[in-house]
Amino acid sequence: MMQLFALNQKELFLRLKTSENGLSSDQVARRLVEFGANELATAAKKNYLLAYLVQYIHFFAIVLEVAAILSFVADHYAPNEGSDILGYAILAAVIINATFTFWQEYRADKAMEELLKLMPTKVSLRREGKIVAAMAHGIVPGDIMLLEEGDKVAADGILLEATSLFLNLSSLNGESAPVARDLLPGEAKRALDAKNMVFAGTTVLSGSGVAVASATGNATEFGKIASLTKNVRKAITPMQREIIHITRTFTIIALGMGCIFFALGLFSGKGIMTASIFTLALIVANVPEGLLPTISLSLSLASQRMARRNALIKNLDSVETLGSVTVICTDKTGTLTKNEMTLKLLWLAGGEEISISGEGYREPGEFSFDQQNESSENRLVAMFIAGLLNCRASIDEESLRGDPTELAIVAAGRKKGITAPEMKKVQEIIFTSERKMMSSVYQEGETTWLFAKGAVETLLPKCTTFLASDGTEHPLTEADRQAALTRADTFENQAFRVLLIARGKKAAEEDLTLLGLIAIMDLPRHGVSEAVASCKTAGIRTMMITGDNPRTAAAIANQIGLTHDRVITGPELEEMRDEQLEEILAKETVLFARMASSQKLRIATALQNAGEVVAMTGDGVNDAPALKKADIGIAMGISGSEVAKEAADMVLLDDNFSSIVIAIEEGRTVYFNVKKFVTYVLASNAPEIVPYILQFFLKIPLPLSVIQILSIDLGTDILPGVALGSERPEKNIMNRPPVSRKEKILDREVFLRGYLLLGVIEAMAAMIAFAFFLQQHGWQYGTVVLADPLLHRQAMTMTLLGAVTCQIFNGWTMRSWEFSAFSLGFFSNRLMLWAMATELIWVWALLNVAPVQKVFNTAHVPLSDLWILLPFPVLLLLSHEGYKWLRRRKNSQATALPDGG
Amino acid sequence: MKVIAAMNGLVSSDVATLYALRYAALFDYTLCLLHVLNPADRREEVELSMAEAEEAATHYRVKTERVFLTGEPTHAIREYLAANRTDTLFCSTRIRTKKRFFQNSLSEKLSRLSLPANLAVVRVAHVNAVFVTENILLPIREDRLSAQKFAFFSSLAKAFGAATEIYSIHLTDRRGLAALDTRTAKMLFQKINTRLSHYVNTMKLLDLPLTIKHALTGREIDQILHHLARHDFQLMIIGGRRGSPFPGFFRENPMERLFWHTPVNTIAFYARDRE
Repeated sequence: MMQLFALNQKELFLRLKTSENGLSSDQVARRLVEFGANELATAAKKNYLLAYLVQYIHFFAIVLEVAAILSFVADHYAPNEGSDILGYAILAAVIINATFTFWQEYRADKAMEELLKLMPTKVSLRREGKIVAAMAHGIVPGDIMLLEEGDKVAADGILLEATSLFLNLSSLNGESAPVARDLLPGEAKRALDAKNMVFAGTTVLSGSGVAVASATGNATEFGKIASLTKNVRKAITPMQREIIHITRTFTIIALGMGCIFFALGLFSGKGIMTASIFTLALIVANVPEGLLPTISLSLSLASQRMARRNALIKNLDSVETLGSVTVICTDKTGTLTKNEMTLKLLWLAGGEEISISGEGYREPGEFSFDQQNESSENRLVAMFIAGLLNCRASIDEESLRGDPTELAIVAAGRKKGITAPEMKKVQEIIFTSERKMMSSVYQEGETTWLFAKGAVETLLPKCTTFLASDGTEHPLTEADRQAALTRADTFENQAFRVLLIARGKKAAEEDLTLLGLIAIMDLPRHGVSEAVASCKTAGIRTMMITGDNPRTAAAIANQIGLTHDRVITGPELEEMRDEQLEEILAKETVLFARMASSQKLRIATALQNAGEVVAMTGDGVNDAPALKKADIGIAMGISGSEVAKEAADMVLLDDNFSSIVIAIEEGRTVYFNVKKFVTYVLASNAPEIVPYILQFFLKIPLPLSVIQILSIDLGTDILPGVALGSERPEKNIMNRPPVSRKEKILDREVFLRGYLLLGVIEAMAAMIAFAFFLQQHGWQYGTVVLADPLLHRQAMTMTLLGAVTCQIFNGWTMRSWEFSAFSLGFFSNRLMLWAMATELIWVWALLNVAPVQKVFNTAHVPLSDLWILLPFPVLLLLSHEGYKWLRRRKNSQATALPDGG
Repeated sequence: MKVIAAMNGLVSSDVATLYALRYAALFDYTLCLLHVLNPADRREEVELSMAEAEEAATHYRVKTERVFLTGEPTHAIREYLAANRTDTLFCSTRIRTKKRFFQNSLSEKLSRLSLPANLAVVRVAHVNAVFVTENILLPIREDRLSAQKFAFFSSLAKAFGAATEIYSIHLTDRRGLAALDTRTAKMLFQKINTRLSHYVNTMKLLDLPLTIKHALTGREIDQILHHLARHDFQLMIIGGRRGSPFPGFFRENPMERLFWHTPVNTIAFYARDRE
């Protein structure tokens, strides 16, 4: 049985139950019910209010909400003790956390909106023998569609009539060259390859046609792309996973500790009220309330830094995902190369080879002949005139117009100072992928000129003479043809695109005179080789995906140092099973050549199944599914379609591969900066928790109030946290392997550094300052309730200051995870300096500003009592720097061992 | 034994009849072309469709008979099925529109009834696909595949000589997905493969190629649609769920969503009630 596009018109009408006069209105109405409207299914609209409210029922939020309720209950039974302020403060923390998380997680997915813009709203149809204008969504299978130049096609259809019909199929296959349509399908097996089919979402570039609609809505080929784009859902990002892990761990610790001490409180006879307040305080002390907003702010700052370096981040979480990237799948043209074709070599039919210096369209250059005679220059000019008169491209100061190959000819002509003479163009026979050549016919007085350029294998058979070294036309012998073919082959082996230039003296593409060959190449971008090398050092595999032939792809790859284990072509990929592909991709670096954009999705999926974190570049409409599937979809800012940009997580403003590597460096930096920040926060948890535990077991007054804990978590810790988030990359950031999926921010080392090393010192500082102050002012051990409330407030202020002063130095030393903070330069993170200054001002305010003292339950402490605080920050600084030194030593020994024995 | 095609003269009903014809041809059953007469009828169109079906049936050497019933369609069909031993009733379906929200189609009404025959509800996306069916997809959840559904699936595959694929979907949320490593996922898939191995063996006996593919997802319908858009299938068979007599007012029924958005012809299979 035959495909629909292979049927003759009679059978086609029979199968679709239609006629050349179209359907009746009754039939249309019934088919609309049978097949549905010609619409692409869009995703259900997100309920943003519901999504926001969900943030309030997370585990983390619920704990804080219960704490707030307990505070209000405590205030009800014991008013004027500040419990209500505490309740409001905790609620504020909940709202801040919920808002930041919501802001980070939800953004509008506009890829589908952009896809829908490719569909028309109104169409011309023939129904009941009359031409009618109808809404595009009303088309049903069997409708007769009338197509004119400039029309967008609304449904897939089979052509019944076609007059010089050319379509732009780039939305389906990524190719922007016009594609000719015919009444015969050719040798197609699939609808997409059938030359007598038109497709929804494509545009009529020229000509006209009549087609019978064969599929509508989601059943169209464009509907499949829309479905692939819409129905791809990314896995949770590493950062989202980390946040879940961190908040869950902290919440479990907080609740666990709260429950234990609540039970201990009850059994030790402290009473349910005291035990509850105590539990509440411990929960608040354990939960890092400022963590989520600070992470969001850090990511936001990182995304701003990346935007300044030409990588525009659309989804904040993607910043950190970049740090985990293990494979970059990159396009060649425009990303690794300049997307500026340069005419580098030229061969005149007389036998001379000319090399041209200067890259791109605007750089000047020199012409070097390998041999030269009197007529060489004239023949070169003749060849350029033939080339220039047969192209539409133009280069001026402000703009470039035309396709890259033609621009290369114009640019080379400019280098030599050759311009096209004024002649009257009478006809242009355009380039198509089937013809592989283009011609222009000019009239110069009585003489007709035809200038042609195209693929050697197409155009050489049409040549009968050549312009020889004596400047005259000679018959083209078999030996001459062979010489031209050999030269073309030599150029192609060097990854050049080779075009033959010819001219004729009649308006037909025959009996042409061979003028010569031009060799054009899209040269690698500057800095790409270094970026590729940097990826290699960073343990990231770079795989090129290109539509070019394997030879060209391999030549470019070699030029930029992109090593590969094997080349897989599009047809080979088609034959491969998924498991086979996954196995190859898990071990080998592959260069993909002759690829269709639609195959990118399969590559991304296979790499992800092989456990890789994939960054994928793309620019076309049909790249959108792969961009959405990849862990990081990267769209091209200059050459990319709006659909690709909307589907991507990151947009490269300069289309440059080097910017991806910069973004990855930034992503890795963010990962370690968040790690530093979490350690920094953990350290301050210790002086918040320890006073409560000590007060529980020892007979001492309360060393720190809950509101004072919040003043650290939501006050003094935030700015240094953000400053840590904006710290520059560590020296060896791109010498490490990518962050593994199994690696966690909150790992054993973070706990060790945060709680045991730095936290213990901070807790010591807080408690020694508290006890020393009380001791100095006549307090006796065993006195739990102090007679002088001012003395108690002063003592609590000392505890708070003990923690805050240590945190100032903690922020400074935490700037590097591995290296000495002193090696980073004093002014290299100005935000940290501002944060430290702000903390010092805050310390002064706690000691001297009455409203601040009232809210945070602090009091003025004489300078003579503050000296006790001084040794601890210094001790903390030295301890952490010492720890890092030991770690570096251990690492260098470990690295030295395998080689050194 | 009969295979019944419920016909109404529409294009999709003709396509459903062709599926019924291929199924009947495989087992050498009689194809019963059935129409329930109603006042808004286009009898000449129905008879034209029947004539075309009869012509096609001669090609497959399938005996046909025309049956015209009267009365309320579901009752009439039910009574006819009770009186005649029937293997499967094929019936096309249409889109539920807002305009016809309360007006259930015959296929919807039938799918809610307990019938003494299998019911195959056909949704047509491509009119011609029935002539070029080379690949058939059967999405299932994990290893949940009833013998009846598999029998129907393998019969159609045999009838068309088509390659087949079972697409096993393991439901998990995004967090679960993130927590799952490649090794664990592969072990899970292996376990499902083992449980489905007897079906693979059956297909081998029938000399039909069968692949089993797996997906981990939180949204099964989206995943199926994504899979269909990526691969070249001409027919999908899904297990029908006997729906509530009341259509979902607030939430789209997943089956309806799949029927509405499917880019390929789809048959929802409802196994007969056990006697």
